[in-house]
Amino acid sequence: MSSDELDVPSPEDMVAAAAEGATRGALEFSKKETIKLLKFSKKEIGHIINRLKNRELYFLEDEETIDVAKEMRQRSEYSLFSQYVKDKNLRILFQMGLTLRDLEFSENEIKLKKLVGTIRDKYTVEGLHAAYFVQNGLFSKYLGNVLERPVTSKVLSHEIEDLFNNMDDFAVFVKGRDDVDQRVREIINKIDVKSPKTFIISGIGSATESCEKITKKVMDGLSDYESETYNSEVKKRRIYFLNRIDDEGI
Amino acid sequence: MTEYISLKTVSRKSKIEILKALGYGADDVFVLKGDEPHLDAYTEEPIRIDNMLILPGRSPPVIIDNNPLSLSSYLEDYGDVL
Repeated sequence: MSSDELDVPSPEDMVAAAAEGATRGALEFSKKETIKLLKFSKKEIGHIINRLKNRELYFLEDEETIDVAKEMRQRSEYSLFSQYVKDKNLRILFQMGLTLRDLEFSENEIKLKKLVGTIRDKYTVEGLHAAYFVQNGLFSKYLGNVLERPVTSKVLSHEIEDLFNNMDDFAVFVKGRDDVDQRVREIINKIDVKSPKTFIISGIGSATESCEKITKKVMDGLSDYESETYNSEVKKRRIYFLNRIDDEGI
Repeated sequence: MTEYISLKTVSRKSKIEILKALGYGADDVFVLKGDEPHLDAYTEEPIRIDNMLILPGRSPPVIIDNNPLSLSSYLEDYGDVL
């Protein structure tokens, strides 16, 4: 093994760290301002491959990357979701929503935009809307709303999966520049076609005004729905749940 | 116990030698499988050498792109192996 630069631990130390107990040595090493890149001998490569195949070793860019991905799976929101949803792709979309929220919170615009593009490419715009639903904290509000009805776990699982698989049939995200009457027609049309038990209209900041106008007009055109409103100080979000009134109640 | 090495600390030459030993190749930018760019199993995008992850698989190790979607997908497939 040789080194590219000086001012670093000895090559012998690095060999030991890389081939046998790699983690600590490599990590401590990577913290130095001047980085000496590891170069492995053929024998060391062979040893590394064996350890890779035996699942004793893996290569990452940095520990944070995997820690963030693992942490998403530990979140209580995700635990709740995964109790009801077994579909792998929906679970990944949920985790992507949580990741988008974190990136937004940390104001990491570049990573945020990149991830939005990756989600859209893989899961289409509708999948991205499902991730937005989670990003904007709507899942817990939705769950709270649904649980006001007497509903079995099986039915709840079905309703959540249906929502996440067909987000654009069950929810709209209003923007401030939206044409109110056009949005009203669009929403009433969606409700007429699917007759969902719950339809969600949501807007942030300046869009809440349009959101309110749209919901009022939609409700004027529907006889078998009643609306429930949530206001959140976070990003000044407003959410309307339009709940279908069934014969036996909501 | 599973350990990891940060690819930031590994020379490009050694990265390519590891790839070759695993049956892959590399050009100036991408990981290759045969003559074609090796695609990430989850995003179906070519994987850049400077943005790859080499992770435990069911038999051979898997090489994926370092992005949140691929990592979450990997964890869904392989559980908490890391």
